[in-house]
Amino acid sequence: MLSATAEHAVRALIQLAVLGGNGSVTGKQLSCTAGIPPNYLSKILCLLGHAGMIHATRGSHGGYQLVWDAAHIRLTDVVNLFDHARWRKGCFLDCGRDCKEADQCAAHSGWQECRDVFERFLDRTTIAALAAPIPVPPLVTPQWKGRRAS
Amino acid sequence: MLSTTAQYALRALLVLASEPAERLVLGKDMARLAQIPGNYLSKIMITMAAAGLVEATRGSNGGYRLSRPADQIHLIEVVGLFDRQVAPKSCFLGVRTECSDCDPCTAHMAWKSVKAELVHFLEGTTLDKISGVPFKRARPAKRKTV
Repeated sequence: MLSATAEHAVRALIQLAVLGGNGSVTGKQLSCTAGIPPNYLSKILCLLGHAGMIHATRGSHGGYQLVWDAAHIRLTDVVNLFDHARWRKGCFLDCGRDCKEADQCAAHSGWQECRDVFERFLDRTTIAALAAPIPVPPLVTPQWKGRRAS
Repeated sequence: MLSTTAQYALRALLVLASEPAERLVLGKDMARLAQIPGNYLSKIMITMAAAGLVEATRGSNGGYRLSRPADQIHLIEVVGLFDRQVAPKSCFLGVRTECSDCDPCTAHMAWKSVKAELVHFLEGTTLDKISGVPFKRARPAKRKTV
């Protein structure tokens, strides 16, 4: 689905949204909380910085912080930076041809549905949604509890 | 959407599926026909042989062949070897070893339907059904000399 790099980028952005608040987060903190090797992370952050999603500040109080609002960063924006967009129009096996309705390969129709669902997921999911705490289902007290035995 | 490794594995199997059942195909020929780097292919073939999808024979007349007919190999068996995200309890974000409805990550509920669609396609499709996918890049047409 996502490449390892895109997955790491998503995790780093989630951590920036969670830990950042109004301040910045150091690379070391990000590396620990997101579980990404530091050298790999710095390359990913560099690309995110070039894309304008995050801002890096040098110095003793430096670090990284989100520039874009987490609610406006869609997974599509991140995936487009790191993964080739070829799968959007390419053939199932990436055979170097564009699959179209008129000129389709044997896997076209089944694959098309999967691709559409995946694209919708990437378009609709934001970093803010992924950074939100998981709602804990309310504890349901069984009705028999608390009743006095008659 | 599929990883490059999973795509290469499927392409390699399609080469084998296009050959008669008993015929052994050299790794070198598979790499050329499926357009996969030779070293990369050999690692993929080791994984697929260990999973029982292909048989490897050594020696001067050695090579690879499918261990089952192509209509009995479901794509999920191949993709599941290389892409962890199609595994039943895999986490989309890769932050935990298992993700489920009872213990979800933040992406789980939205991701569930995407994964279900993909797994449905991969489980319902066998290798022979995609044998029409052209894995060879078309050569540029030769210019006609007038």
